Amino acid sequence: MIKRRIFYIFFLAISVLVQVLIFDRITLSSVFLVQYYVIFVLLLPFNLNKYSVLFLALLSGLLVDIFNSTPGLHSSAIVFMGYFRNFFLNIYSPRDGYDQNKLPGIQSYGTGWFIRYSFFLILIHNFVLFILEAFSLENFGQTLLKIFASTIATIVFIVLGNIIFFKRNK
Amino acid sequence: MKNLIRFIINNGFFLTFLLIQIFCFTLLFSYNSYHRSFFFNSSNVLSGIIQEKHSNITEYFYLKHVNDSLIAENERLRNQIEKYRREEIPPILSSGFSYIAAKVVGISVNKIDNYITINKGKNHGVYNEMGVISSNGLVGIVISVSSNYSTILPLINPQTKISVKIKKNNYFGSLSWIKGEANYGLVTEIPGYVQFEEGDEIVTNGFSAIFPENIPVGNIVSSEIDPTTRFHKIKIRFNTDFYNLHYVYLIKNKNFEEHNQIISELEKKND
Repeated sequence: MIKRRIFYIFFLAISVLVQVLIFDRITLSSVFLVQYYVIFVLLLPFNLNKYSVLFLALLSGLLVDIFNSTPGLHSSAIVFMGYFRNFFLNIYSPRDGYDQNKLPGIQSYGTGWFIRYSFFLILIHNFVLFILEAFSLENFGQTLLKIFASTIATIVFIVLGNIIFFKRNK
Repeated sequence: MKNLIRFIINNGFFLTFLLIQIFCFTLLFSYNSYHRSFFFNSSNVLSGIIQEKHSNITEYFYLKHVNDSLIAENERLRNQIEKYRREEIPPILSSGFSYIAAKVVGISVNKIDNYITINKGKNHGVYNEMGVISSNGLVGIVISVSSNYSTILPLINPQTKISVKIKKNNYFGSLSWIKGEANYGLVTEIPGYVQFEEGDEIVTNGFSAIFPENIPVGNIVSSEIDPTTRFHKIKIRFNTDFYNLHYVYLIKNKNFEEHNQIISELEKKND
């Protein structure tokens, strides 16, 4: 239990640092904006209290906001995601429920399940994030494009990261 | 009352969510870009130290680019010195401006609200509303200072409005950023009858105490006349390349206080 807590503290630090030091600095395209740090909330344990999910989501969002000078922006988006997490976990639950000892990652239930589970959550996150960032309906097409393109880019990198980080856990 | 308590217990999760969202939205909307809370700012200690460590590692990758731009700047300055020597340029009357060099430790280009973090703060003599330039041209304005780091509001942020002029005929207008197009800006408020060509230089006009006169900002790319107001809408390309910005200079104005005092006295009289 303690081991798992320490693991999650490091995991939070790493996912936030990867976000702000690598993905927030890639300046190749203004449409594909990878929101890698959401992997922290996606991979929280199945049996974690849903209130804790909300507060941990808030914490990770605030950390990213501090680095970007955007107080409340990422926090709001990721708390939305944390709120809907349980809903999507229940929808895609296997018939005999989740194995509480596993993490909601690829190595537990496969890539297909993981993409289904994370797609809508990341879409919700990006929707809130980019709508709040633009805060107008001006260039709405551009904002929509950004939301979908970033969701796809985020999933690609999170699946890759998931494979690299958690290979040994199995 | 009983119903209310039951409602709160039954909807505890949703209410917690709502409270957190209210907290986030308060942060998001109560913050004014010019007087922002110190903590949620890239110039705070946590973010400053981590970003500086990171930039100490990555700076080796762009040394070549930095060298090239420094050599180009040296060349330009040397030519300018020669012109002064030959007295082609009139000597500058004690301008009161001096410069502080700083390293960029954090920058965003692709977002809508872009900011730059630099590794100089109060301890190095940085104060709010200092002008910031690069070796090529204008960068932005300091908006938040901690003891060792500061945050800059760059040209590529929708909140930035800077007063500029066309260098060759001195007509002045107002510069803002074209959202989403890094390195391009829009100059408005120049009357339709003013003549200029593509490639003409846009510079600062020196009306404020923040920037000296004639700091290069960008070059005209294209223009059209707004049919309703009959004013030009001029698209310019910034001289500063924000994708490749590693070192900046902060402009210190010895007469900053005096200038502001006069302005505020005038404003008082007008009220």
